[in-house]
Amino acid sequence: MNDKNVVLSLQHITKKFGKLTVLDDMSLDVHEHEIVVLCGPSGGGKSTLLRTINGLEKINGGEIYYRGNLVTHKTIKDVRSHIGMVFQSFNLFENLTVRDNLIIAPTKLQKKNKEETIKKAQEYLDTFGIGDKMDSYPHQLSGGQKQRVAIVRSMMMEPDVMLFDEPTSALDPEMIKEVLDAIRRLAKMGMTMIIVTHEIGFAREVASRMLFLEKAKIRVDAPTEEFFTSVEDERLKQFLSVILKH
Amino acid sequence: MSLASLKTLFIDTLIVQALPVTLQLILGSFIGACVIGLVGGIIRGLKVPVLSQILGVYAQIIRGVPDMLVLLFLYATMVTGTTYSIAVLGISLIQGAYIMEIIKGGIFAVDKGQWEAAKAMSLPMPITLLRIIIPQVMLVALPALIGQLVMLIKGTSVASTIGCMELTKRAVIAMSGYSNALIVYGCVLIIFFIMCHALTVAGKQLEKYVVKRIMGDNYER
Repeated sequence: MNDKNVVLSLQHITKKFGKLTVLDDMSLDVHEHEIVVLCGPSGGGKSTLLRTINGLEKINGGEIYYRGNLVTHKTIKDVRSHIGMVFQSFNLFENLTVRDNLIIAPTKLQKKNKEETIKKAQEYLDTFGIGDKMDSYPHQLSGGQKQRVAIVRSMMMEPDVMLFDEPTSALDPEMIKEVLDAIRRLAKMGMTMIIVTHEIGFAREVASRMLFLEKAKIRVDAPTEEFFTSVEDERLKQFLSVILKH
Repeated sequence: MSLASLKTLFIDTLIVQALPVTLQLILGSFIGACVIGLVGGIIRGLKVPVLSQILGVYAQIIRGVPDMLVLLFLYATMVTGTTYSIAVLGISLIQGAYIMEIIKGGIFAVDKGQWEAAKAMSLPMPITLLRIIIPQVMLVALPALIGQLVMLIKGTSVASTIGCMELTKRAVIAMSGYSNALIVYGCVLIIFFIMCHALTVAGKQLEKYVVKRIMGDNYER
């Protein structure tokens, strides 16, 4: 807890949906500049774990610390403004242009100057190859473009950590690469990230650490190369053999 | 019936005397119903504890009793108030309940992801509602709301039961003088039809305009 590099610390997190336990005593420290990828079979609790971090799911037990401070219902709003979240289904505000999607939080919440915010938005859009989409509405964009706008929207808040909940699962194959490239770019910038994904090749390339979640437990937590080569776990090997073959 | 008496009936009685009262009823109840509907609909849509249940009971009561009885009940129980103000109150309560349910349904229809994204960004609730949720509610609810407004216009004729001197009441009174039902009620029918039809036609244009304002060009539902 005294380690200054720990951005997020999850301690003994438990989450139940009715009688079903979806997170069973999970603990996890995420350090600055670390890229943690969560993988595992469906229903293992990957997305739920991610969603507990910014309070989209309430936890039934355990504690979450952000920069050493316990996250409570009083501090959650402040914590959220430091955590960017990218969803599987993009969740861009459908009735707002790309510009308004990007500036709404910085101007309305963080009270930043509008002109400067728009300028910054334009720079980010250019960086991610969608510089001409400022005036478009979400329904006028492709899935890959939407997800890149969603990434830029999170970046606009200058987050400390970014969470990705299966960012490419709703995309056509040819659009997956453009979104993965965007995440690679964030990795190069040194962004701390927690990513839930089935893109295992991509995970191996960018992750500093891999977690294998199954049956509400963190079954394996290992540095990336070790995870793929030397971890002795039957279920993980089975999972990897299936997913790598496909 | 002579042309002169027809003119007296149609112009002097119905258009000059009665129509302004009906229009005022429409305007007053429209404002009242929209306030009740919007505030109540948001409370119901957000499932605010207790208040939301109370409003649910209110909606059930309105749906379960004849409109005419609501007005008669208010007229009998209200200590003060003109027939006009009681009619506005009654019609607002009736139509407000329906509008409330339309708004509630519209809020439920907004994709959960929109709320989650706003929450994840820590956007304050008033901004989330005003900038994101309500416009999207309007997009889905506008046709139903315009339909309900037509119901409101037609519904003002129940004010006649408590003696409010609007179109229907004037017509009933005029019947005692002319006794030609086809002409007297026919005139009122035409006036109501023109109002409702004009609104329906204008509503279609309004819908197109609103969709464009909210979602930009080339939006397909």
